[in-house]
Amino acid sequence: MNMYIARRLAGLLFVWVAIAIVVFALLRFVPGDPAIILLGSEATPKQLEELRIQLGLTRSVPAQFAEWMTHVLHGDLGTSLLSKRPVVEEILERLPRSLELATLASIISLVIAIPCGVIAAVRRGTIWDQGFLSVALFGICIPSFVLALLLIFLFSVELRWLPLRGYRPWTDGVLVWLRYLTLPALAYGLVQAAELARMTRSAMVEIVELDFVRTARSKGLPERTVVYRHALSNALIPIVTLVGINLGVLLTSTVVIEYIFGIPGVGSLLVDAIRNRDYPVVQGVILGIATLYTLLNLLVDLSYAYLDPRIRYG
Amino acid sequence: MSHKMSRRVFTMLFLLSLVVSAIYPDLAAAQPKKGGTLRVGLYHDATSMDPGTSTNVPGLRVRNQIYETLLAWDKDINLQPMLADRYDVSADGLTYTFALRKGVKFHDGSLFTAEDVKYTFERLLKVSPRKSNLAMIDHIDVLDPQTVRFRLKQAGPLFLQGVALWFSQITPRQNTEQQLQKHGQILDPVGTGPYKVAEWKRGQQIRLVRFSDYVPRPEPASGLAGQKVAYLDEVIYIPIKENKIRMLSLEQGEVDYVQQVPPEEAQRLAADPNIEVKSVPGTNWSAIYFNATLKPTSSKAMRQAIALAINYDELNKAAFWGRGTVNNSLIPEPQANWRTPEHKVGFKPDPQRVKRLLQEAGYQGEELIFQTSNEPVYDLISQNLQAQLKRSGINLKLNVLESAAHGASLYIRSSQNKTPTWHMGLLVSMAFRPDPDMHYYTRGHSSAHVGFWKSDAYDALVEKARTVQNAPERRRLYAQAHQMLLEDVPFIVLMDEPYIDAYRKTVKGVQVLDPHMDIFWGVWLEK
Repeated sequence: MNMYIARRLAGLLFVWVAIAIVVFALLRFVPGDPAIILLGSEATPKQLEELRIQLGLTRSVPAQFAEWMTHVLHGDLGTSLLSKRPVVEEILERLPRSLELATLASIISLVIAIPCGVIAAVRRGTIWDQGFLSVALFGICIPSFVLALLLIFLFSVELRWLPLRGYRPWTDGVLVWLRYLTLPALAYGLVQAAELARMTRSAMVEIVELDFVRTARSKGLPERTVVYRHALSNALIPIVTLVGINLGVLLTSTVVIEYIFGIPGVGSLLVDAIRNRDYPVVQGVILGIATLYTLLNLLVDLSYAYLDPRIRYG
Repeated sequence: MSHKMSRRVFTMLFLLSLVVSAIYPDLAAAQPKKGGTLRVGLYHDATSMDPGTSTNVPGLRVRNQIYETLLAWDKDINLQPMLADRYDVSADGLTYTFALRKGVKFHDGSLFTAEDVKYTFERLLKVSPRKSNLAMIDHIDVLDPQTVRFRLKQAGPLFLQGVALWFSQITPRQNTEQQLQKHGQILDPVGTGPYKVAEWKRGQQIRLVRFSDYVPRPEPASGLAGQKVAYLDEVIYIPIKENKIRMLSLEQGEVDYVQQVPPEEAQRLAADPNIEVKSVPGTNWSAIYFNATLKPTSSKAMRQAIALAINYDELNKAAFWGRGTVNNSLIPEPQANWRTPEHKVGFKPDPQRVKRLLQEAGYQGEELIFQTSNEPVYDLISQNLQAQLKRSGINLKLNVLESAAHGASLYIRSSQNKTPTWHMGLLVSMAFRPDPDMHYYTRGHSSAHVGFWKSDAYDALVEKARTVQNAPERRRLYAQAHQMLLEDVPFIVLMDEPYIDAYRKTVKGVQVLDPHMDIFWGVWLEK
């Protein structure tokens, strides 16, 4: 097991360096000049050159990369060209908000998707199954930003139950925190729930036909125990894989929802940094997200051994 | 006066006041009162508020409440004293001596002195991205705590404008140095303005509170100058980037004031009885640059044909819902002090002349590459221009890029010293500049025109205009420059963009002046 983790972490290092090289190179080749953005349209060539020297953008791309990597390995992701603040500070300040949103959205998707998927599988072919499948299909088809606008219209504009936008930390009170985060988390969670419910249904449909489930029933176990204890626990591997992927996707795709709901998370930081060609921030955020994503994948893989004792890592 | 008599007078006065307030309710309501919190929907994050190093525009709007400059513009865009009480200029125009206001305090409690002025400008000359605007300064001397002297390398009218520009906001020497040593940056903005920063939660909100030690100037308030009375207890800036959500926040009463109302939203908001929409002629303008190194836009006749093929009123309706101001000059209408009768002359659509000019230019209907961006306003302008010019037989191929990439392509001359690959390039929201030189020279001079247009006569004219001190003479020179631009058409100024703010009707005393300059002193809440 330890060897496996070590191998995966070494692999993570490789992925991490590859991402760093790709992001760094892509940013340098994408049209756009941070000096023009910072100085404005009437900047003279001399002013632009002076600023580029100041920002270290006049050296060769490999030299810039080598310097950046050296700093990164010392835990320094550089300084934002726009805010002049350390990138690590910018990310750490905003990351918890994106994590809160992603976690809450995942909880919502799990709470809705698992029971719906199970019921649809157990009552396959009934009106319940058809109903869940139709709703899930609708959920998969609708983009989260459209759902977000519909939710805003219903709950904030018409009913006025929840605030239109904004973010309040949980230190202001859990209820206040929930009031602000409910709509964005629903906009994400409902779309994710649709996909997860379909996956749960397919996994369960296969399992409930197997002999061990029939045996459990024939032993006279209550249906609830058969479904949740025996069938669901054996269908968990594909579900957990999807939950892990979804959590990663949520972390990387909070951009639109954060923008609409005005949540100052990592997604909105990334969008602003891309628009302003704030290279150190873009590089830092993408590297951070890649690290989280790969660690999450590792955790999902490790959880297989716990969910299915037949799986061994060595 | 007997007791009975005084009671009768009092009763009469009381009844009279009741009658007056019943007939003129606004008169009673128009009295400013202290207190309350103004919540402002800021159109983007304020990423930095250090006047020395930041060019962030949303940050500038907030900074305007916190910091002050030595001189400031009034509502007619004339310079007036602010932190300086007066200034003297030497006969050779090389020495400016400023007498500073006495008893002014910074938000940290320290006294504003000449040392702070010297420190601010010396820091700007070292670190500011806009230091070239102050490059004429040779050195600065502190004569006494209330007097500071600037010695210039060359005389000219641009120094005083530089002193009043937004990056020249005065910061306290000791506090700034301490913050820079501790954090390497300014995290806690400290100025002399009527509001001070109480809390700055990045990306969430900036809370300003009234600065109790602020002593307003005695002159009446006008634009950024004169008396600044802070009636509000607090001003809270909340970044709301999504336009629709920002407007909805105002309608729902979650904020009291929103900036940068899109023209298409203004109509809808104006129908709300609780909302006031203020649309003023803006000082921003939009323009099309021509590339003088590529055929056919290297031909003057071709450029003239395009200028005369455009119906500017139609463009105004399509892009700004008719709220813009058609103006083909570099000096926007609100900048009345620099506008002459010549500046009112522009291009009049003339289909017959367009035909003749296109023949003269030898244009055969080939595609002209029109460099533009995917931002909504650019999009509306580009598509309308494409449709309009098509009617005259001129074919545009839109090259639509994301805004940073568009900027890099448009300014490829200054950024990489390369000739552009486009024939026409669109420029929108060119911001207010107080002095005509900042547009006539920096846009049209052969060393700066992004499409490599060159005219020796024009160069000589704008070079002369930047050295002349006499204002009427400069106005005359810029009127000539405008006529040259209309004739040679190195670019077409399309129109002045409208500037629209909206606020709840409980907000009173609002001055909407210019896109980059919120004015929340003199504003009060009627609740």
